Amino acid sequence: MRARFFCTLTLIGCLTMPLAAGKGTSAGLAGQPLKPGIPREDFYIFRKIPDAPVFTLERQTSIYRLLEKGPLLFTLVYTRCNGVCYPMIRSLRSAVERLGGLGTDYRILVLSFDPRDEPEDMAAMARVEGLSGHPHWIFGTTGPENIRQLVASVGYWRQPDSLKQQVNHPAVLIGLNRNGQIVRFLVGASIAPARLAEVIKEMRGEFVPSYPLPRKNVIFSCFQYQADKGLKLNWGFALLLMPGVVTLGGSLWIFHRGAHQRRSAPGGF
Amino acid sequence: MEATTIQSTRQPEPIILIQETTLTGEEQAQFKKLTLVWLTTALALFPILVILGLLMRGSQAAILKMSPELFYAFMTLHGLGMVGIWYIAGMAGAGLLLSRYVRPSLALSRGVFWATLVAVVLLIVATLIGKFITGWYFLYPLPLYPADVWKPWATLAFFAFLTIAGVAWTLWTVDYLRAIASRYSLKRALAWDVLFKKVKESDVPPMILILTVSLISALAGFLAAVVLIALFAAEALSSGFTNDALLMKNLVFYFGHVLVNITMYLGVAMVYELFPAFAEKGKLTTKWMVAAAWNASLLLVNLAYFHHLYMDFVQPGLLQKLGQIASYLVSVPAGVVTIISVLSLAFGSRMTWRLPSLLFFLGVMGWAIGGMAAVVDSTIVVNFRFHNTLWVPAHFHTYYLAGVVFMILGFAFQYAAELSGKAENLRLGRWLTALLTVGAYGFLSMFFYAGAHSVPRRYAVYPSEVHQGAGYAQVAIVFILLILTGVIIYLWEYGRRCVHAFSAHSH
Amino acid sequence: MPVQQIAFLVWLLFAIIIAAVFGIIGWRSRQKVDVSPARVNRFRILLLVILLVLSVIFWAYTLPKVPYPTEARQPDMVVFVTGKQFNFGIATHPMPTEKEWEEVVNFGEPVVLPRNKLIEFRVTSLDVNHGFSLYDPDHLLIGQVQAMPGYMNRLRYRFTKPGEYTVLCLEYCGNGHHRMRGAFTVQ
Repeated sequence: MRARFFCTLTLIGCLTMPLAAGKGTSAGLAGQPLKPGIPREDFYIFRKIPDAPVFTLERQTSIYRLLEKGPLLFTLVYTRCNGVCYPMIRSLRSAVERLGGLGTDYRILVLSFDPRDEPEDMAAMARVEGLSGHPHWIFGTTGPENIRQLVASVGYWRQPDSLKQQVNHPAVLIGLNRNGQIVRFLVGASIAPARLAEVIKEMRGEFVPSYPLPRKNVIFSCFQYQADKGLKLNWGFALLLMPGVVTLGGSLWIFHRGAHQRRSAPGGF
Repeated sequence: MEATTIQSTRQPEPIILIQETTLTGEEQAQFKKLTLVWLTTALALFPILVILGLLMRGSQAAILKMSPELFYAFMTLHGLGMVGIWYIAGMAGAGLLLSRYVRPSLALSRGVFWATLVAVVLLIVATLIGKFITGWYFLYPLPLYPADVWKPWATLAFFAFLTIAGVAWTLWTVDYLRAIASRYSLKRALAWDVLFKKVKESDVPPMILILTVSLISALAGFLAAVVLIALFAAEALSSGFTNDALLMKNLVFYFGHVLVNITMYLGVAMVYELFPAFAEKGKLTTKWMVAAAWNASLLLVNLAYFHHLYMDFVQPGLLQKLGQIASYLVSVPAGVVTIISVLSLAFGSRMTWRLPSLLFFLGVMGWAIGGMAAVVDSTIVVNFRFHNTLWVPAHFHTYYLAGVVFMILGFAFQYAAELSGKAENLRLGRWLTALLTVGAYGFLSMFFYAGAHSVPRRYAVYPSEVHQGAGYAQVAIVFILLILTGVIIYLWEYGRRCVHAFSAHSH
Repeated sequence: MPVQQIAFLVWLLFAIIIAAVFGIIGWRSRQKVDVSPARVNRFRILLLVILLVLSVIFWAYTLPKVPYPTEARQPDMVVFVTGKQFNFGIATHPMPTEKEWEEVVNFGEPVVLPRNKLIEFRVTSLDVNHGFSLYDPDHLLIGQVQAMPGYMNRLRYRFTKPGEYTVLCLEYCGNGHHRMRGAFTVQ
């Protein structure tokens, strides 16, 4: 059965390059210029997304009503997905748990882009991911026309794959500020906590003066932020500290060796 | 310190300051000779590199026509060459002064000399023939984008130069530290006994403290270069591995900043060791203030380089601000302590001003003025408008040309004078100092003025928006010619003394 | 007064003081005067304290003014800048590939920016490091940020002076470095 999802996974594979844990580089987009069709933050930055009703098992609300209570992390999924959707929710959940701030700084809205999905299906998805009844994770559906508008407004796309009875689609996490404007984009199923931290910072109203672009095979990046924990060390930073540390050790060693000579030399001190 | 009494004649005998060493017999003679060879090599290359500078200013002044490739080849060679020659001259001089207390290795210094010569040839070939024109800092990933200007062999030659010089100079540094360690413990060499008030003052000379601080820092700088070269190699040799541009930038400025900073300190160490004798006062001792200032430098020299990355907004803001604070603290205490020491030695001394003492005195002044310009530029808000304008070369040329170069010229002249025993012409010394000083400050003022008027650095020719740069360059040329004249007169006087010393030896 | 002029004058003032002190002391070296080391030390401490106090005042004044904003105010307009040997592509849309960059450089309409609005420049490079600079209509350098491959740097600026602005490269990027440029208009 798994072979069915192969196509979706291949796509995801090229969207995400989960490097070793804690590396913080977001989806590596195969280094080359981005292929058209892969949503890129630059094109949608600060655009307002259209309002849409949100139906959950418990209530009916709307995106802008949810935004009144604070910024939203927003993503589109579908419950029959055998590819990226569930892993992404899982990855997001673990990143969010590491970073904190959920409920105070922002909440998470997971909407289905599949008109066949009912609020029950979304509730089931929440249950599968252990987020059932979580006050700050909102799993819901919306109307078919709203789906079309939302998908267009964030450069998202869906490509039905009749052979595999699946829908190919990118994995995108979108940061919305209180005005419903797109603040940041994260592409890929694997949510790097360091990148997510920047999104959260920005949603909270702090300026992030620079961010890394998707790159291939960069192992030694330098500095990474974690929202509440400040600077995070990684291999690049270790390389930067190396000269100082080795020099310290080397100097101590040279003077330690010299001690022997100092004792034996008559003129020594 | 036995300073001979100064006669009031116009042509007194040179005072003997440097010559006494812990070495004996043949080894001492060889060591002295090698030091002279080091100094002469650096001094011989100096006017050539000045001429490269002159040609660059000529192109910027729209007087000379040259291809941009040639301009940037000159720029790369001038930058690395100047830092290189004053580093080796500073190290050679420091080695001679060290040999008064401890025993640096003669064989190693000789080996480093040959390695350096090979490296210099590689550098010249890579830049002038191979047109490897990345500037001194070969900022990643520029070496990987030759754009048909240079061939892979030129890149290879350049990195071979870096590797050979880097390894040789690291060994040299380690050997000096070893020599210091053979007599002084780290605690005493860094004057921690004074710093933590175990003793009031230390009989370990301040020069040893400054050199220990410098050598340890230099080691860290060279190791940063090792990491940098390794990462470049990894990217060039592997398929698919890409470096992080920010990390590479941090590493190259770590290395470059420290190396330049250390060269300055080598000159300052000479002043600490020799100036008191010129002023006919006793040796300087290491007191608490001196110990504290130089230990602060050791601590902060690793952090000050952040000021090279202010305009990289991806560098964490905290480090940027730390960079500003560290840049002030690394220069202010050490500068103040040194300046007041030198001024208090000169004040009311009735000293006879000779060429070396004049150059030492003015060199410290140049350090102060250039240091002040550096402090101004290391202020982030100012750097927002000064970064990579001519203000940057303005400040480092001030503490190089009018600072450490003056100091080392003073040292080398003193050494040659002592060896030859030839009388000094005080009047000529004064005129020569005046010529060099006027030339230097005239030349520098054009850099400062251009920097304050938004003229960018590293431009082969100026576009119309900053055409005023050409006018400043024209004025600068006049002053460079003064400097060049001064350097030639200096070299003549220095050379005569060297020849005299050698012919006296052979008799 | 532009920052450059203030910085230049501050430096000049210090340089003149330093040169004057060296000159006077050099002159006073002609007479024999005995100075007690204790007095020198007192003077040294005094000078150091003065300079450190001055430094702290400087920091307190300048550090809050760093060009790295902390507050995520919504900019009124986002402009994308992409450097590549030897030109700056400046447009209201991003240029993630060489092809789009070439289109902007060769056929793009010059960008027109509103006055007194918060403009955000998103600056990056497709090849080596470049320096994105803002030269105002009087050719005064009013700000800059590095264009670094692999990173998007965000520079925010509020233009008050209308006219033609020039962008020159402020990071050495090869044999065409001095030719590299870009332009936009503020209305």
